[in-house]
Amino acid sequence: MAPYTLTYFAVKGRCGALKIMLADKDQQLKENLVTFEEWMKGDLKATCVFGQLPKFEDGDLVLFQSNAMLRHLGRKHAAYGKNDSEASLIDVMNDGVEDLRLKYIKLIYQEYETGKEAFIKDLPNHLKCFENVLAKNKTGFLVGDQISFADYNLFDLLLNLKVLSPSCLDSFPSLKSFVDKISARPKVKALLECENFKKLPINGNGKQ
Amino acid sequence: MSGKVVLHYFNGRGRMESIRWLLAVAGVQFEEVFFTKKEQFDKLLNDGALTFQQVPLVEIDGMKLVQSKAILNYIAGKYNLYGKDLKERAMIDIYSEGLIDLMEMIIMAPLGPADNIQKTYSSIEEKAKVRFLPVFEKALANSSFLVGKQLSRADVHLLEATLMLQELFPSILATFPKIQAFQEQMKALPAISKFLQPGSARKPPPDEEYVRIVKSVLPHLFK
Repeated sequence: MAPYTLTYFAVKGRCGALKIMLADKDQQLKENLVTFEEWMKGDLKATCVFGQLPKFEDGDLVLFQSNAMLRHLGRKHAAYGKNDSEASLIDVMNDGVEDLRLKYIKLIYQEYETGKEAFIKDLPNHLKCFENVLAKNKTGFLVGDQISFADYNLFDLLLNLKVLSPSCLDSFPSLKSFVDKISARPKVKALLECENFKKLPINGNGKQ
Repeated sequence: MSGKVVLHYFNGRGRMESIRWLLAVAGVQFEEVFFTKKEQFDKLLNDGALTFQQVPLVEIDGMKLVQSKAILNYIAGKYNLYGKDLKERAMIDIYSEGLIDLMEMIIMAPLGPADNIQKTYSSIEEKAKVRFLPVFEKALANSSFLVGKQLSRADVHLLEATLMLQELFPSILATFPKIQAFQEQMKALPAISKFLQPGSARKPPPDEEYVRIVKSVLPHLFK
């Protein structure tokens, strides 16, 4: 089958989780990197639903909205739970990750200088929600006993948060173990150690 | 696993309104528990029902679901409002995500700083006209539905979102004839027609009292 195609900027941004998931599922990904100058010309923007990247192609299916992409890949690659009940809980978890990601994005792009200290101080209040879920589930995953797209999404966000605040997981043993466990999955480990992936900045403005 | 569906939220639109719309379209009856005091929210919090310390909370099929998007996904899947295959579901997700982003801006506006509200509404109007509405006008060019050949949650969200926009900007759909026609077609559906009648579970636009109650029940969000 032809590889998936991703059109995005040369950052991890909103596509870190997607790349990690595809690597772990042994799926090929062709990448079209877009420069900021190209984007500002407007030709590509005009072809994008809601005028935004990333753009993801699965054959003739063209997707926008990073969470829609994750859900689609979750359905295709057995990463969306074993039944409707698990799928619902995975949605709940992914939406929780998205809430925290939006706060992180707001910090990075709007409030980095003025809000970093307050964000880091408040971070444990958000992380404890995920800590509680992982501690209760006891499988090393957020829902059920197999990895889901919500796990990849949380993992990616936690990697970003650890760059922002290296000690942020110190008082959360289940989250720490979660990051270690997913980092050790062979294909995830290979991606994280790959130079092309490592050299990508996390965000588009150089702040992290 | 049936039983009654119970919605825990404020007596207002907020992030529960899209859930009310979807349940109404699916023909599902529900009960509502309205927050008026902080103690009610705190009790749910202490009972461990709010995984992320947030509402809405919906009791359905023996589950206590939080996160409005997750709740909408579950209802849509259960009541055949989520397309016929993987491709349709993915497209419905894209449109739904966009529409929920748009409605979120409208929902949050009255809860922000009062001195900024006109600027916020101008920004919403601009984004709606330039970024959002053209997408849906184009999608409806050759079809009665946004995705596939049957009603989906995306259609319900589009109707809700455009009605919200018209409350704020009455002439906003003037240059979007396909969306106007779509609205009329949707309003003619019996379940929607009923939901739009006075006395239904549909909530009015937020007023000062609604804003006051939200801020008193969730003071930690408005420090």
